Amino acid sequence: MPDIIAAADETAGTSLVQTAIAAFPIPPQAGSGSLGPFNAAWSATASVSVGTVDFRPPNIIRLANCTLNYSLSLTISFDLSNILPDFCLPQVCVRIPFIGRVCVPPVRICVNWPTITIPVSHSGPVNFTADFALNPNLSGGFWNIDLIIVGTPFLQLGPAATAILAAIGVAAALALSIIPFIGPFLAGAVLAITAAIGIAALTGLLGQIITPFISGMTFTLYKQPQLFEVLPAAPPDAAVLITLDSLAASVRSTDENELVIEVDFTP
Amino acid sequence: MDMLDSRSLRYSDCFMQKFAMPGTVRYRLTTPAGACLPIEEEGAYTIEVATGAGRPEGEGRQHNVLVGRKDGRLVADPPQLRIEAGDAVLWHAPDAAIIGWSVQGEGDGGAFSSAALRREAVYTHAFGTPGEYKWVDANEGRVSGTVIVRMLDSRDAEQCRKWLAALEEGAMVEIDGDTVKPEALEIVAGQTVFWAVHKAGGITITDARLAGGEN
Repeated sequence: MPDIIAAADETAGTSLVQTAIAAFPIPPQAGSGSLGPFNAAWSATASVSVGTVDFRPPNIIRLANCTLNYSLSLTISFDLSNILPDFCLPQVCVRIPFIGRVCVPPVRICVNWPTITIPVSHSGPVNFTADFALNPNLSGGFWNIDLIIVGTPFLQLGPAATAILAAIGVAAALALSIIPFIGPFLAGAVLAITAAIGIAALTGLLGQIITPFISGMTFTLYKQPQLFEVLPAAPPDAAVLITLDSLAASVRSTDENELVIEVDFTP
Repeated sequence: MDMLDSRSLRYSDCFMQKFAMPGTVRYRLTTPAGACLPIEEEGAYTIEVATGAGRPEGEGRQHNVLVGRKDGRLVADPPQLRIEAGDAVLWHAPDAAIIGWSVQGEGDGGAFSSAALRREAVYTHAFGTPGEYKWVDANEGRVSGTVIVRMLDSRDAEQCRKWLAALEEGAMVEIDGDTVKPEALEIVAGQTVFWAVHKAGGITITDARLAGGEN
């Protein structure tokens, strides 16, 4: 029989999990990858809010209706000459009264399409449900009850990819509009860029960016020093310390599912 | 938005000068920073202007000089020219990396400069981006005008066809003293405007934003 048995129902568990997950901010991510024929560099931050908690014996806590709120900065760079045709202004002639017919030289202006960079920012929520396994462990003089995600939850990224692709189109039009002589090619260029990227490639990249925030996600639900003071020193009595010898966590099914923590200690 | 400034020529610009008097013309390629320096023998290019063959006024020939960069210096190709009185020389640098150059010279017909257009000179600029461009004379401020550059709807095939045709048509602004005709001009992006200076006091064709004026 354990020295201490503590139990929490799902209502209390929800509160525990929400508090624990809020205390563990998710580190920002950055990287680069291909986006269709283009290169993309990105940085992203995210936070998770928990919807409901569902205890599942023997050791699973399912977090349902969670929301991953992400903020993404994407920089796409590409060589416009890959999508725009070579183009030279034709020779132009006029009659100048004091000279006669004069012409600017043929192929005086051939447009060298530059490499441009398109910055795109996008924020949004992604909903998911994930199972976490209870993992009690002793580490560095502390007993921890960690929750470790099981598998990788499915993320519905299609809507976000569609929104980002539209944002890329708007940003591309803005970036392109300042390039001299691109005017007649502008609409086609924007279309070529968004078509070359495509929803599928963007969804793939978004998955690369967003999934690491969740896959392997671990946070600590409970943390307690193995040795701690329960009564302070009161001369002539010394402080009373106890040592937690073991700690176990599980989900048990009684009349309702509960998170049960069992502790053995020695004074 | 692109910028136009006859004092600081780019790949989208040309400068042209008519030479009416026989004699030797010496000129150099420089930047606005070197505008006040004298034209020294070393590094100067020459144009030999022979007596005209009796061509009527307004029937001069055009000679082109390519401006490039070699060993960090602006160079003219060909370095020497032989022309006839009444002919004109056009300078242009097709390399977009060569920016901010000007032409300054002197001869029996007087001095000439792309940074101070005086007599029978032409400045051209191809407008690459739409917008409203107010140009002024940055030297004396006595002439000014506006060029409105329209965008076209490139999804419309008919507009594209008209645009390609329009590119081959230059637009002209004539300046004689303080008179500018027309003062306002409307073109489509990609078209070239020719400023033909009959006679003036050493003016520039400069984007008002560069001259400190209003856009």
